[in-house]
Amino acid sequence: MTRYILRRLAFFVVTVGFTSVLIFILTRILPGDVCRIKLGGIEATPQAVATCERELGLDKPVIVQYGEWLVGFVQGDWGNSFIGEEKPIFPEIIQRLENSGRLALVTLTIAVPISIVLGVIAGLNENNLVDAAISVITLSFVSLPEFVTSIILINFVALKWAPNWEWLPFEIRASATRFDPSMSLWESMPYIILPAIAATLVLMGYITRLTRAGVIEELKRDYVRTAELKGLPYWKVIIKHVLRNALLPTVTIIAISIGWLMSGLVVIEWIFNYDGIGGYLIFGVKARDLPRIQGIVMMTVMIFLVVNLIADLLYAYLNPRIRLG
Amino acid sequence: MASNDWYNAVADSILHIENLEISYRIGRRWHSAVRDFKLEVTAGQIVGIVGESGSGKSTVLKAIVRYLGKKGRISQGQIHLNGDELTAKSRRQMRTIWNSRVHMVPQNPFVAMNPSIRVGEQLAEVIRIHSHQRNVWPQVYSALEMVRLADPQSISQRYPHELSGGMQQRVMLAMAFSTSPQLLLLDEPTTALDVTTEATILDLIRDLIDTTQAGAMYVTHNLGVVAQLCERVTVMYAGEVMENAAVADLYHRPLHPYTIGLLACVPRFGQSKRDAALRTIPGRPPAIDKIPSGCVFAERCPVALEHCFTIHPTVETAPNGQLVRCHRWQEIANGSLVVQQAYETGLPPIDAVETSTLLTIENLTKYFEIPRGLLEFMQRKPPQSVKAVDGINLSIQKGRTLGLVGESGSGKTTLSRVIMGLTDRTTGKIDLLGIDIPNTVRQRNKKILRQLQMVFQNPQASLNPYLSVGQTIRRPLQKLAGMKSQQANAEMRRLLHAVNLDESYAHRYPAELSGGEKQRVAIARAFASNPELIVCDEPVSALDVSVQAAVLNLLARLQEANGTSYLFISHDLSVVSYLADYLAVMYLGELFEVGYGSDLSAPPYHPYTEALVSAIPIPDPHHQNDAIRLSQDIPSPRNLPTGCRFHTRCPRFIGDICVQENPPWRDDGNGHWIKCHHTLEELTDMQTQGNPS
Amino acid sequence: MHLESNQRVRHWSDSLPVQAIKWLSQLLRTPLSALGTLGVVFFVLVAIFGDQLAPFNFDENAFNNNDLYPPYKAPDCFGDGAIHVPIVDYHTRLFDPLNAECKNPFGTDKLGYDVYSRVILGTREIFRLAGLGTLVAVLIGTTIGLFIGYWGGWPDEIVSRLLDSLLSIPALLLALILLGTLPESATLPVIDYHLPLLKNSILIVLVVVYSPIVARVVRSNVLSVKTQGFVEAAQLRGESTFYILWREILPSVIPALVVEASLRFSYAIFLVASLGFLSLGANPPTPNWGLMVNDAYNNQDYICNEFQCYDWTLIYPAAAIVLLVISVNLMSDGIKRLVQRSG
Ligand code: SF4
Ligand code: SF4
Repeated sequence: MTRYILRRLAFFVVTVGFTSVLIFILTRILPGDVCRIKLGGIEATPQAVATCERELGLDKPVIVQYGEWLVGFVQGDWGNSFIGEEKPIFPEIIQRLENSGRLALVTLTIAVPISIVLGVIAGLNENNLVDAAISVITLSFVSLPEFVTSIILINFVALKWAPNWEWLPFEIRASATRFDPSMSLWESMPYIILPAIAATLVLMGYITRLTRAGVIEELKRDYVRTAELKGLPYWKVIIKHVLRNALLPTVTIIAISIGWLMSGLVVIEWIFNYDGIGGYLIFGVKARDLPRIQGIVMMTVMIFLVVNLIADLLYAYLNPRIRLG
Repeated sequence: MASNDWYNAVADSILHIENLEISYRIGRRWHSAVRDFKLEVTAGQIVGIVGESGSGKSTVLKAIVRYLGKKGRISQGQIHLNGDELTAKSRRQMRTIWNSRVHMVPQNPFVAMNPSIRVGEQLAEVIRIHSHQRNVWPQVYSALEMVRLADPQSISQRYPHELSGGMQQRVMLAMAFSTSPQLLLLDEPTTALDVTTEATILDLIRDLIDTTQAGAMYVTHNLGVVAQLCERVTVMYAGEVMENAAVADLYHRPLHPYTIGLLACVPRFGQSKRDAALRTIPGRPPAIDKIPSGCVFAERCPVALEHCFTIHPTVETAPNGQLVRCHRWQEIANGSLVVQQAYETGLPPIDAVETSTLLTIENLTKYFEIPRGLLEFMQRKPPQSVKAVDGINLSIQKGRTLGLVGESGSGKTTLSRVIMGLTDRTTGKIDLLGIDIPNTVRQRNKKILRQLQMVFQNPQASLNPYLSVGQTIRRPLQKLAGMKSQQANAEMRRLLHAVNLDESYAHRYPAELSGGEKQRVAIARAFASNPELIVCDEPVSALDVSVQAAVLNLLARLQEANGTSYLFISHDLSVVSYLADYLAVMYLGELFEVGYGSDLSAPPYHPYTEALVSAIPIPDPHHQNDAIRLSQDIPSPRNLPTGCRFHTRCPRFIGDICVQENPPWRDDGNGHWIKCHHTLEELTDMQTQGNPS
Repeated sequence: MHLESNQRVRHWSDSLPVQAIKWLSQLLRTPLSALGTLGVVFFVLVAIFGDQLAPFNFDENAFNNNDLYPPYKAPDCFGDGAIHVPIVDYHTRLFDPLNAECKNPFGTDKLGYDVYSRVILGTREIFRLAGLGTLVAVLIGTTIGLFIGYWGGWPDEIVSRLLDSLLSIPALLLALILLGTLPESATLPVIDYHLPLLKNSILIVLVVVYSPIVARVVRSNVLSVKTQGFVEAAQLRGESTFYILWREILPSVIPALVVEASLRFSYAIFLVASLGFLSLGANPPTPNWGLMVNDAYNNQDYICNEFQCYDWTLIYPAAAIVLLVISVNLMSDGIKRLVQRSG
């Protein structure tokens, strides 16, 4: 087990290193003309560009730039925004991260239990009507882009069914008024619930399908026959033998689905005008605000990798084959 | 003319199957996989069911426990278990029967156990439902003791993957016997195990049945196992019972042409290619959707008459209670009809042809390094290695076969791969006709490559599914033999003929071929470059006996015609002794005995070879097996035993000298070498006297 | 059920083209995958014959005289043929394509462009981007996967880590970084969609985002194929790496590759539509479905009250996206089941 943890940790460190280099290259080296982007295009005078480059340290060797960037990143100095008042990026992102975190949390709490139950039911009923129904439903969820579901939600729920529900704070333009960060999670729920439902639909199809596949896979294994031929009641065979193995990978599935969630949230936050990192990122991309893109992507990737690391370790802990190996 | 009298005469019948028909659905159609099956099992009896793959033998077992899956059903017949009719039982009723009265022991114990539950708990489950007691652990431990597992407490705390194959199968047996069932269904329980382990498991099964007086059905393709274990045998072919007889009758007075053919196919231990060619059964069994209306065996039967093709024979009873399904059994019984198979004489004796050395291996080693973990790396531990091949010296003669035997884990496959250059070697020299050949295939030139070819174990994987047979054989002709397209085509056709395949096979794809046909194509491909040496890595172990015989004959004949040498690797000593001129026995990366193939027929043996020989299940019920058993599993090659590597399991163990000192090589001056502290005379004496106590 | 080996029905018996045809016929056998396959075929046909099918160009005003008519015109193939269908209740009328006045079956948008034509031409746009992007990603990914899988050792170790790192960035985020940083020339508004495709940033995005996944799938398949007897037999013949990869290994990888490619294609459609919706990488008036939905959404066309309701500008492109993705998903599910059954 220690051996496994150490190996996994080493993997983690290497991947983080590679990813940071990648992001650095993508955002610093590739565009070539950071200062032109910053100064807004071709008209910038050479002097202005030169000053800007000195300010940003772009005249130093690439390795040094990367080192400084990485050290800065670890220390919470993520650079200043290129646009507006050129404020430091870090506090801006952290504040929005909390908002996004609320949304993600609510989404996961709704999506994970429902979809696991659905997936298990579908898997146990492979190829009969129940399975077909669940499969068709999840397939349509998977096939609906999140911006379409969001618009449907806004149009039908917020504007048609519930225009008089006072607790649902949606205006005619269908965007939520933003909540005060000091609100408790419960108080902010009305602002969160619609985007959370949109995100749930995205996730649900995904997790349900994977869970179903896992259950079907396990049901085919020989040990199921052994268990049945022991004379165990069916429910016991399923719960004690099948689900124990089938649900193990769910830990990993949830971790991976967090990657999905983050992609989905970007669009959903944008549509619902939700004040999270997703919306903030898209403004950044449109305005070509490199430090912002860098900071957000680096941070999201970190979260994703850490979650995956935890999931892997948890999986190893729950799975005797790795635990003892 | 089925005779119920015979069945009714048996008083203590446990299982009685009558007129059973089992069908499977393929697409929208139902096809019968088993027809008109009947069987009787009495208390304390082990009934063997023998058949080749596709004969429906395992299907019968699944039908008895009513576990045929969604696509299978019992379409006719009765199954009586102690008077209870099983085919009419609901699933609920079956559950109690499953728990307490019938148990099944599967072929592969590892996949049959839940990987994430401790074995003790898996065993406890069975007992808990049965006895309704809270604390079942004493019973769990005694069940584990019953199957001779030492230290049941610690075993029950382990997970399946922490047990060796033999131990896993013991746990499955413990599960099966824990509720004192009336009937045991054993589905090839030893097929996946080494001979040495197989022998101990078979002994165990025999003892358990004797003490519990349960009835048992033992399904297998191995005629030797049946002869050693069973009282009665049923031979199945294409879903039908061909013959059912007491073991002695079946092996000594078979009445059905199929049984006769099958028995003739198996190489007897000690039989050699120089005595006679093996008999074969040409053709292949009918597919499940193309069962003929007459006798199912008619197409392959050497004595088929015209009406055999139209009239379906029924099961008839011979005076001694032998059941047989053949129109001509009476002629066979009274000796007026002799079932002759295609028969060829043996090859010329060994010293008729002069030979010289082809390949010499000197001090060959292959160590696999175990990658150090970060922890070990930081602690500066030296990298560990697995010594898969550890200092082998060997030579192969031109036009001869060297048989290489050993249990799995002995390093024999690694050795062959190192010779072929598929794995690089750590140290050592390989000399082919005076050329020192480089390490790996990539460094070898065409001249060397064309001299060394290989036939692989698994026929499914040895041909590219997307290339036709013709393309497969043509490629080495063009690439290695440097032939032009026209010439290659002609040569390809010649090779197909040489391996007894029709020219039309050139256009077929592997998926359309049977296992034996695939292996023939693989042999043709290996012969295409006209190599000096062909390494055969268990080429027949995945094949049915009747097909196996044909492939062995083919290999022997091609060798004679082309003067090719073989390095023949197998775990089956009967097969090796049939084909090999020379023999090498390998254990944990070292050779322990080198000699002639004929040296296997009489002592002295190395103690390890002795154990291997005595573990062979001989297809003759009168054969008395010497009870030399290797009780433990082969040690991990990561922690090699000191001194003689075999000392942990040796039945002829001497004492400290074996633990501390590497034994010397001893030879009889005739090319028979044994590596042991015992002298050859001591070994001969011990081995002719019989068992160590 | 377990039938013993030589009775097992096997599907992959023949050379690749024959097998492809067999697959297709098998796909059409189960209702759902048949529906999906037919759907995809339909969209492909629409994409190919888009120019012939579309009555207007994507940036062509559907009215001869802009002043006389309001830019928004309801779908006019409904009902009694009146040109001025009351926009609020066009839903309630029957669809009647033979109607003499049927000129804009999906209505027109705020600039008076024909939505029907734009949806049709958008099909081609989506196939050009998502289809070509997937294709290039599959080609590159397969090449990488084949080589690292076959070579193993440190090249595999390094490239695999690199792929892992790329894969740890969620697809849309990776797309966003690329779009935010790629040189201007690549993100130029694609007004004239006959611009060289490789200059299109979305294409680059798709390739960068999806080739690592394909590479990983191919690699793991190569690992299981390369130890099989027929590959080792080829090594023993001294075949070149290229020959072994191309003739011996690749064919066995193709089934898994087809499954992966169809899956990637459905995600690619998604990604293109999402980026279009965020109006990244595509500018109006490109007939990009996502962009069209975004346009309608920004103009609040979808809000139906007694004053306004132009929801056709939103419904039709959105429906097109959903239908295409569902079709591709159904087909890909079918392919997956086929491959699993025969493998
Ligand atoms: S019935 Fe005829 S074909 Fe069948 S085994 Fe007997 S002799 Fe041969
Ligand atoms: S040296 Fe000793 S342990 Fe080794 S085989 Fe001979 S008797 Fe057995």
